[in-house]
Amino acid sequence: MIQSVARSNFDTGDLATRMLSLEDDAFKKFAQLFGPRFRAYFQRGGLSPADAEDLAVSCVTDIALKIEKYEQKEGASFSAWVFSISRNYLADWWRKNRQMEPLPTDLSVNDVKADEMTQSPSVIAVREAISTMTEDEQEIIRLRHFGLEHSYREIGNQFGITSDAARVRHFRALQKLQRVLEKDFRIGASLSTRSVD
Amino acid sequence: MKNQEENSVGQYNPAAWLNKLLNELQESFIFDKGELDTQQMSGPFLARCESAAGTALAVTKLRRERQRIGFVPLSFTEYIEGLARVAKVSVSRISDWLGIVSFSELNSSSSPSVARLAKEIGMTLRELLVHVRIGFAAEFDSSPMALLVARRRRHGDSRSELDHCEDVLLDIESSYAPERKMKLDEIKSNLQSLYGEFNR
Repeated sequence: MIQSVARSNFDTGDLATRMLSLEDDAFKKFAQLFGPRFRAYFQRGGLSPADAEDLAVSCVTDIALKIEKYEQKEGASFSAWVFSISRNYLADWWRKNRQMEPLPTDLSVNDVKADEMTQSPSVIAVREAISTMTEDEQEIIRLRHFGLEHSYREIGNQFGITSDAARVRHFRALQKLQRVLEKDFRIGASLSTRSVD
Repeated sequence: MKNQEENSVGQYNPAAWLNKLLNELQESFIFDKGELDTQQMSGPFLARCESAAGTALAVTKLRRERQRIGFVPLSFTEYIEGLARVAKVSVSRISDWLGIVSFSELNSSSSPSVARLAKEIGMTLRELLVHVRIGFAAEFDSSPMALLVARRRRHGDSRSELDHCEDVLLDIESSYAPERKMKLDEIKSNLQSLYGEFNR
């Protein structure tokens, strides 16, 4: 589980290469692997089941059509590339349907144009930084920030410590993470292109 | 002592940029963990996804063929239909995806689809406009474009097929009535702006 935070992309093997070779089965596999993920992700992003399904189907076509733009890079997986594009599709959907619902604040963070869609180097940097931390630190970050947000009491129970001690460990883990990331050039580049409060 | 120190620390709020990065990472984490949901997905939904991927494959095959073949002086409809036959792709799959009945009828609802398809297969705007103008000229009673272009070409001529085609079209269009010319200009201008809107 700890590893899944630091390196959470599922294995897509040589799917991208096979799609570039125009293999029928590879495109089918892409649909089976990513279609349901798109739909689940869009529903979590606030879309109705019907809208999530329609957007997921559009994403399958549109992202598969961009396969020739995918470049294999070290530390950056195919699924992360696909995810970064689908994230923009969700943001675009909300932009187009702004009159229906307010744009969720967390979706306006990464305003990337369609032709600039790449894997986010800063997210890769966070993943890598977390992977250099101790197992306990990784576990605390996972429990607090990924999936269900656990309370300090729950985290304390898991580690056999008080909730205050859990809070301190979380505090230190994040401080450490922040220190590591502040020295990472990818974060600096990312911060200079983002509007940060 | 350690406990006292730990108790004295309040809840740590990470810097805004770190919080945003953690949110992004969390989203990608949720995306990856969507695997379990695969089991719960309906058959019809998966069938839609597979059909969508099949469309992407068909369009990618058209793109590859277009890269090999390049420009040929045909109307847009003839070019796409010919390309589809060469690539062994169903034209109806492409038109269904784009939601249009015919590529030859350019109106407000079909023009965005034509512009999108042109962009998706890597056709330049210049080529698209020439294909459309050829189709427009054919409606007006024009001789076959390939013959007109061949007739114009001279031995040792280094100009491209596209250049010659544009010259022939200018000749043909110079005889259009003002209304017809205006209609063509409208189609061209509409396609130009639509083509620019699509980002591949």
